[in-house]
Amino acid sequence: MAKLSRGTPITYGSIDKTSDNPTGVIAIEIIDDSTGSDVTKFKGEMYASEVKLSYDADTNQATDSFGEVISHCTYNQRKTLNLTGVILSNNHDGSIPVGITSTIAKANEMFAAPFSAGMRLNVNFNEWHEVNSEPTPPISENNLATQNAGFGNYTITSAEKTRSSGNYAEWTISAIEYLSVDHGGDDTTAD
Amino acid sequence: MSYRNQSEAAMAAYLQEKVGVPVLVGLRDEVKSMPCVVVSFVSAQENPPDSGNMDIQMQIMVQSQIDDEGAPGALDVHEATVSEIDTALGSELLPGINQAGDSFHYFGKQEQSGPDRELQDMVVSEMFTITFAAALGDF
Repeated sequence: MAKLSRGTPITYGSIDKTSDNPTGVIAIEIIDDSTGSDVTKFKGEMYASEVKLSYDADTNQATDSFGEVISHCTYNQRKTLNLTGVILSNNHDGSIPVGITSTIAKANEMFAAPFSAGMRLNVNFNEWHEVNSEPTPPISENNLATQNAGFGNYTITSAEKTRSSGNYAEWTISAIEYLSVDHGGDDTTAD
Repeated sequence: MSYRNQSEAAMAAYLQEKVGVPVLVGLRDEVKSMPCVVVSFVSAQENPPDSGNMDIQMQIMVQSQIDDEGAPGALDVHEATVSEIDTALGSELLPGINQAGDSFHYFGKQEQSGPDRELQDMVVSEMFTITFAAALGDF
């Protein structure tokens, strides 16, 4: 118990406050590629209260005449990312919606940026490569760390924006990435 | 300036425009003359964590001396002041606490209770307790 009584390194919190990201803010970008070219609908930042990644797949079983499973097949392997947090004003020249101000009006504009399910989601989260964007992640006012070592290549499946009485307004985004059945590498770059 | 100083100063300045008696902050180096309003920062809790924004709890107390040493008509002034504070803390008016250039921003109210009345040595106190979300910044 000596190790535990003195403390031991453990992953903590939704975001590491490391040199990669001392402010604990993730930059996110939402891209519409439905027209054949990439159109950025949102490039800003989220103070993420929860970042949740889950892996799942569909399965099928074959049974023999006794009803016993003799074969189990797993397919449609995928990972699902859930982001929950408040959206900041993003006083940054790369911001979309555009605007280099730290005002409530700009924060409202960022919160109300229109996008749809089916658009791509890029996330700047260098400490967690499964989440960090596989194309170069975006940067923002409070997350200026540029890096390109991620595996995340997500498509938004659902998003919820909530403004409730007596609370800060929040976004909740769910996004999905299908995985290759070939597990030879660190991850797949399959879209 | 700390959250305590900023929020007390902002609330006192806002209420001073609404009432006809002196509005004082909780810790001060001046003699209090009643009737008056005392604004005190109680505590603050960061929300969301690490964001720097705070959920702030404040107490606003109307104090009046209603014996023969008090000001004439003190009770009437007291009742009027309580009513004015009640109105000033309403959700429609309270965003007026945000003044340009004061490095304090009120987002919105979370809870309010009171006025709770207490009578001690012929000094009547009525206290409002309010909790609201705020940040130190001129937004």
